[in-house]
Amino acid sequence: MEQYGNADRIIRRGLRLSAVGLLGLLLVYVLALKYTPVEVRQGVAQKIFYLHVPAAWSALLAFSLVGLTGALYLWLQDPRLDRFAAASAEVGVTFSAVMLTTGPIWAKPIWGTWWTWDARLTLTLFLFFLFVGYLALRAALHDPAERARFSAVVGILGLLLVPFIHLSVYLFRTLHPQPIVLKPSAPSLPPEMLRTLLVSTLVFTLLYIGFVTARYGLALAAERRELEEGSDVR
Amino acid sequence: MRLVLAVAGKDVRAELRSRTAILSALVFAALVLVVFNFARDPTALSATALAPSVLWVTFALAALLAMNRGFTIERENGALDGLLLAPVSREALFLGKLLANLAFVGSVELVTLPLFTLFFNVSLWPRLPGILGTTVLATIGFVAVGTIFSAMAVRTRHAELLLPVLLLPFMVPPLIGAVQVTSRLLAGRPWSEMLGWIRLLLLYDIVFVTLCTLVFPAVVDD
Amino acid sequence: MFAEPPQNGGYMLAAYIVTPVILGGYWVRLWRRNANLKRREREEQLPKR
Repeated sequence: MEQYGNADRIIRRGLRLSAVGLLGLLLVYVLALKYTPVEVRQGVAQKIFYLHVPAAWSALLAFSLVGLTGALYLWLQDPRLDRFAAASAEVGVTFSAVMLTTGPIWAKPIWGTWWTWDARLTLTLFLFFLFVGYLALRAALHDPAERARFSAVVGILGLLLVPFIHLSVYLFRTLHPQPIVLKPSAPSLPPEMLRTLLVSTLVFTLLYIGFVTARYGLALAAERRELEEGSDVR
Repeated sequence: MRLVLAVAGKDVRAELRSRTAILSALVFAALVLVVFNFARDPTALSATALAPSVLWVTFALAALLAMNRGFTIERENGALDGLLLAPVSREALFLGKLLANLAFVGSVELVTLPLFTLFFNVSLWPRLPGILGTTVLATIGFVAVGTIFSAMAVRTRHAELLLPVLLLPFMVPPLIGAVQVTSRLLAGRPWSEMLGWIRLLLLYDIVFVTLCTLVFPAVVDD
Repeated sequence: MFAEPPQNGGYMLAAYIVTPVILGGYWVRLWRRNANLKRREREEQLPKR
């Protein structure tokens, strides 16, 4: 029973951290709406920037950690690494969902189209698909060791795919230049915008940490239950 | 090196023995070409504009089908377990499988090319070496990651669904490169316009063949 | 000279609503999974006594 207690503490800590993060989101809203100036060319819609960019950062962080902890798992064989990778993947898919919704909502007023195959949105889409593939594979494998090994392989390969997607899109666009009506991020941001962006990035990082902690705890608890159930049967 | 060829040879012979696999993949590729022909409006888009995309989507789909089938056969035979017990280096095993899959997918592509020329009224002959070279480069990209993923997917219940979901994102860079180079080749453009894309294809192949060789032991060993 | 910024507040509103719905929804999902686990733990303890 104390085994669950340990996992329970982790879950609760994660839930608390992410709850604080959600409150922090409220602060970001206040800052974004009251403190930052309205960008003249883009209007109020520019403020989506304060949500979309940090979400992208969190999704990329999540993804990198899935790949890195996977690689570490193959080297060290520590099941905690695999548990963390799985948690990071699920949290990453959530942040990708935020990216994939705020991205087009931002693109429509700024660029006039819901979707465009630019580097940012394309990478967003690929990250989403990579996360989904990773989670789908995990769901289809039942032996924990096999699942951990296979997931690690997908994570590593996926991590190395990202620069190639970036390169492909870059080559694609330099050879097929597309008219850019307005650039979403100005070359030099006024300090209020920069500070708000920073705060928002911190909030989203806190959300990532909180979510992953909670998710990790839940995985730990689920594993402990399975072990206990097994021993009860015997 | 001989070991690699031996493994490849064994796999290729296994594929050839199940002729249905090759035939099914070929028929599939031909059908996809037919569907593409009817899926476009001939007055709106010329065949040449769309040709490279059609060709490469067909190749990508056929490759998916072929690779999935290959490992399913092997799982049914239990052949992999036997090989793993032998003192074969995992690298040689992977490269052998890679070559075998390459031969399998390559043969499907080779037969599809004349069909493509026929259905879409494109002449490949003047730039044939370039087209073949591009096909080899891109297919290596498909098959390197495809061999790893099909080895993994085959151990799940819904391998046919899981393999495309896992593999398609990885097929995109070689696909883009192949389409860009093929389209420029067919339009008779100078080589200088394709160098960037050819470099992308080469880089992708080098990185992923190396990476997949390194991770293959994690897929087959316990 | 004083240009009016475009009236696109609706989009901003949409994004500012969607984001906490997704993030908050995920939080609720985690919380509920925890609650379910704890409930099942408590239920299993009773017959042992």
